[in-house]
Amino acid sequence: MKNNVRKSIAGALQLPSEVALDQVRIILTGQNNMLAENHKGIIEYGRSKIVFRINSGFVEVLGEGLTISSLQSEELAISGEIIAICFVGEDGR
Amino acid sequence: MSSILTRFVNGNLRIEIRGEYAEKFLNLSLMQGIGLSNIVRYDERRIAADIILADIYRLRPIARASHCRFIIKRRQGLPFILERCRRRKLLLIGAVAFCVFLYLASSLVLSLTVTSPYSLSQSEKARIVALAREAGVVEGKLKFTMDLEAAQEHISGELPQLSFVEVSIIGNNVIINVVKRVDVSEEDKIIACGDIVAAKDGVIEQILVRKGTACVKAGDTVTAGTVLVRGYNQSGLVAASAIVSAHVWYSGYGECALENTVVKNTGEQYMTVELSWPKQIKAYVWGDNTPEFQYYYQQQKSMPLVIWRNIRLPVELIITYYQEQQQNIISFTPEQAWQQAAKAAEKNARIALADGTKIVSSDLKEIDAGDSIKRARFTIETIEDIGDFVKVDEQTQQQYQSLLNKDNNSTE
Repeated sequence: MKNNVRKSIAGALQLPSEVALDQVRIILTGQNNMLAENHKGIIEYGRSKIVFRINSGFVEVLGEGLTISSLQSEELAISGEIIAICFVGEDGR
Repeated sequence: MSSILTRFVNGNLRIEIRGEYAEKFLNLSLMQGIGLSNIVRYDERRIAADIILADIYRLRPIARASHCRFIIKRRQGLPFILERCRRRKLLLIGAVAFCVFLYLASSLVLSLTVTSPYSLSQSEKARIVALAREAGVVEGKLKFTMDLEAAQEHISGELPQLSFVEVSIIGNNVIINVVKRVDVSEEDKIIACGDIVAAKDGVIEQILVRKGTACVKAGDTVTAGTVLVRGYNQSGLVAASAIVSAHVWYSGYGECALENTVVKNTGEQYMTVELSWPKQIKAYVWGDNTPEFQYYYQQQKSMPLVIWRNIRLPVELIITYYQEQQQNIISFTPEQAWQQAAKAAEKNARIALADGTKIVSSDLKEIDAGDSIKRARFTIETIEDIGDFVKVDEQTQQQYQSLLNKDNNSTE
């Protein structure tokens, strides 16, 4: 309910949703670099899988030789060979 | 790039985090506002990351809370370099001393070189170097302590025979570049008495005498070698000077037959080698003297057989090359032949024409030569300066002198 109100206000005012709704913003450069803004922390970190929390669940980054090249409170930069990015809800779907 | 620079200035630490809950360590760091970079997982229990030096003390409670331990693996950046320098003062002093020494060594003048576009004798070079030393340009001195301009002035003041002196430094070498003054000899200063004579046949258009006495006038026809202006005037014997414009004609002839035979090499070659003894005795070693070509061009080369130095055998090796040739007949229509002849005639007429000559008119005439050949004559009329200065001999000078005396007497 609260989210829907926010959405409609953001739509009416044409505000960027990552600001208004605190949604994650992912920038993918080729297959080797990824920048995620508005993350909420690392859940799992391995060379082939990195899971980080976002406002509406989790993001799974699958790949090979993955490293976190930068970890700041707002930004998360991942480098390595990225194969897949999955969005997983709070309920695990 | 800026982040690398910031990390270098602030000091960067590579830490290794060991423990079960490394992710918790990372998240707690984030919550404390500690930025991490280059996070690499080695295995299940070990993660490495870079942090800024100032944040290291804030990591202790985080490590405690996440049940992890961290150790510093590598220290990088300016604070560590400064610390190293502070501890190893001699190293810093040595580095500074080395830089100073390098600067001073590269500032020392090691040699003086005298250069000139013209040849200079060893004694002249030695004198110039000595003067430069007197002015303070000495080997072993620092180059920024030298006054090069003063040295220049000193050398040019002491040696007036030099028209140009430049003292410059290239590397450790002082280059003294000089140019000697070349005086015109007295002999060259005297301009010999001479006439202006016609270089070509022509009809005088205009004559403008600067020095001397004119012998011709506008409209006169002159031939090559005719004296146009004599080398004397009221003041005495002079080197005649004048502009003599004249109409000059150039003529060229060209012809073209309606059927022309053109000889061309086919590329086929035949070679014979023969041994030749005195008294015209010959023996063919390779081939014989009957090439199977209808038309050919023959070229012969003889090689005396030398055993050693000037010891020669009385036998000569003669190599003859026969180049096969082909004769082609090229036919022209009368119009084409005339065009070819006219073209050749114009080309021949222009051969003697100097570049930039003013052409007044040109004329192309057909010379009647029958039906099988076309002949043309191309004539170009130009206006050009035909005057040429020629020195006169003693006898002529005496003649001029007597003419002058006669004129003076008649005037008195």
